[in-house]
Amino acid sequence: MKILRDRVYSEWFWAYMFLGVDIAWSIVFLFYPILRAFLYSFQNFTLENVGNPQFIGLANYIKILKDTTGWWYSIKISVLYTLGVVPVGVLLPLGLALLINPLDKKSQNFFKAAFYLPGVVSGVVVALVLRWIFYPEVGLINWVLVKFGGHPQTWYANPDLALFTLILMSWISSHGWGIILYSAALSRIPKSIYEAADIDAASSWTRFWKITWPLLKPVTLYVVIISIINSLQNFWGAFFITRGGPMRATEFVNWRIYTTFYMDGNYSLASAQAVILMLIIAILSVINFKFFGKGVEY
Amino acid sequence: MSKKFIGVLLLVSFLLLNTSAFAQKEDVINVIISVTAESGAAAYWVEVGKAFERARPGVKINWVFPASWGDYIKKLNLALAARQGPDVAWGNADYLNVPGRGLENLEDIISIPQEYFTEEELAAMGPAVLYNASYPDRGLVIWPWSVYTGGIGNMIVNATYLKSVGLSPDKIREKGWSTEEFVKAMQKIKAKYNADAFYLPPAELERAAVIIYESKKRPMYQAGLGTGCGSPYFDLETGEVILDEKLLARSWGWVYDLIYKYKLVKAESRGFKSGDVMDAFLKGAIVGFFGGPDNLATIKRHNQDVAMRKIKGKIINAAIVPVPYVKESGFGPVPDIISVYGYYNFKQVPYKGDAHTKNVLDFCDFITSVAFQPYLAAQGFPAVDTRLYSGKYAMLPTLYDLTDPNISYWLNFMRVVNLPGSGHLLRGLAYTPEARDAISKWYNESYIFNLEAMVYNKKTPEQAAKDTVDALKKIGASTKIFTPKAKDVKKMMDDFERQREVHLKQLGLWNHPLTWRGIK
Repeated sequence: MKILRDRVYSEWFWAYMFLGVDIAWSIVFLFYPILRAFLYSFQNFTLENVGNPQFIGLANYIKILKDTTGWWYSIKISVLYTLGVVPVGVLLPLGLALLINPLDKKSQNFFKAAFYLPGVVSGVVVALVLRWIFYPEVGLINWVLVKFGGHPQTWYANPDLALFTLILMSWISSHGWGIILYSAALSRIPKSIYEAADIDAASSWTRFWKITWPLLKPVTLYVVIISIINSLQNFWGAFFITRGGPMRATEFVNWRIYTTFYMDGNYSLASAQAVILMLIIAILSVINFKFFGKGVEY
Repeated sequence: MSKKFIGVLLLVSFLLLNTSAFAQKEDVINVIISVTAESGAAAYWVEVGKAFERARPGVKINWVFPASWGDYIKKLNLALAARQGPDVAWGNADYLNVPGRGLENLEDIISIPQEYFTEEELAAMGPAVLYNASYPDRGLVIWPWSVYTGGIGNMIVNATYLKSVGLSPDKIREKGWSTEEFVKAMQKIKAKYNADAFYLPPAELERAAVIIYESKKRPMYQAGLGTGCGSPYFDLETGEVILDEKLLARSWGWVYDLIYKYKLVKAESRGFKSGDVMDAFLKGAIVGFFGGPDNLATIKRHNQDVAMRKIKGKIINAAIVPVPYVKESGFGPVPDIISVYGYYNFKQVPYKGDAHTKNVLDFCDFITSVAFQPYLAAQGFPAVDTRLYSGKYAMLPTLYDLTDPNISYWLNFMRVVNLPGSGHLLRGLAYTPEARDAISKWYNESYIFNLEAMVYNKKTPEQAAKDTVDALKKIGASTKIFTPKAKDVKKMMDDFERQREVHLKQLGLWNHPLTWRGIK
């Protein structure tokens, strides 16, 4: 009895110890800033009155929602970016994982590591490399285009191409984590199911559509939600490469929040913008779970 | 024994009390400048502070070095909000006095008595510096230390290219050049070297686009477009929009023609970074760019590296020349806009007394002393074009190679031809908070957007200018633009214009071909 009590005590103790670190971290660096941002969003807290912010109710929210040329324009840009990024952000990792999965263990590891590499490199480095690849005059892509008889493009320096260029950059650089998730999910699908399909003489497409795809649904749902969140929160492209331009073509919501905060010095307005973005993401995630999570087994 | 012991104890206590009393009497000067603690400059400033402490026993300098520029602004604002602003803070009139960025609480700033400067010092600074460091009814509030230019009036060009097509930088510096002469020269250079006229990254496009606009003569209080939301877009007297649509279209159209008619500028260079401009200039890919003589140091280093074969490349013979202007009736040379940096002294609660204020102002005088200039120069801090007007050591001839015609031209041009920026007065005093917000939004969402739309050939210059001015008119129709202080600002500008005329006439420069003279 004592041994059991000790063991339980010990297990609980260590469980709380490990959880405690994470909970403390989340409280200090996640929940507290969110709470403060929420409180600031109801104040007129700007650089002008740092020491004397006042409660102004919903004024910041009303100002944002009425800002058709600013806020809603940024929402439009972020939504367009999300629509461009998410489908490919799901299908490309899935396709690559399907290609990698049949390979031997060594090759699998090599490709997984290679595709995941941009994920462990600093975002600044990735942005600078991508900027060089798409540089309007002498970038790598233009060099390749010219070599194959194409015309060099101005990419992110062109208002018609800038958003697409950032979408393209996302396709190139941010699918590593999706490949890892899909590879892990694929390896967990029991071979016996495929063997049964083989006995029924199922085609490759039927095997994928009737077995692989339904069994990958939980991962797909996760990848979709995370991709939507990442896309709506996109910032690095605007910050390191386009500065929101040209012609406001890449004026994402997060870029607007950044400029409102750092350039305009309007902390409470930026906080309200961040709260609205958080709500939008939360609503979209709930919708995803509700409509696309049906039949998903975890 | 015990009496002896008590006696010693009393003596020690007395001495300790006295020492602490002396320590309390020590006058502490709190200083915050935008230098990070890790930088070499911070160590230097600490040494400067110690030197002052040695010269002034009883005064202690307490440095606050921020972690970043943002941290600097935050620290400063928090201190001001608590009515415990630092005794000395570094900043400029145009930037730090923008409401929303700090230091705008004018009542917190102690004016510097004019008597603190000698006649020679005031003359050396000139009216433009004094104006830019002052406020209506407040006089001088910044201890002037350094001066930056807006970069609109001058540009750095490849002298070899210009000479090869028969143009002399010396002559351009003497008499200026017209926009037509500029285009012809660039066409010849393009044919000869395949070099573009200039690039269009942020700041460069904004400067190029207002060259013709700024070349038009107008009252001084209407000059200075291209300085963002602090520009004079509304008439200080009538409150009406003064951004001239036709002139704006012509000014932007000049850039449009350079891109699409003459093919001397690449539209896609709008997407380049500022650093790309210097790279292109050093490679000979562009003829010039808009900037001050601090860029000459970079070019000089490049030339040294090429000469010493540290890097491959060509030696670039750079020259500073005024930007081209319209040689027609009603037009004239483009003035550069200066921005003064210096030191503020803040009131504190409770008030520490006049002796403290005097110590603070003496310290300001001390830290702008020429004695520290060689050290500063060796550290590369601050940049070469910043140390122009520093108290009695104004112009700092020892630091500049005055035999370099670029430098001597620029120093002279800077002192007498340039105009002071009025952004700090417009933003800080004249515009209402609602107008500031609306103008700032308009500048980003309409002015820059339409300018870029024209660069990318999405709109004609006329359409872009019309849309821009129309959007501005909407602000004028729906927002209260000016505060009652606007009248004082206008008066101050008019006073400056008169002082400037007297000053230039005293210097015999009133009729100089490059002296900007507006209309009244």
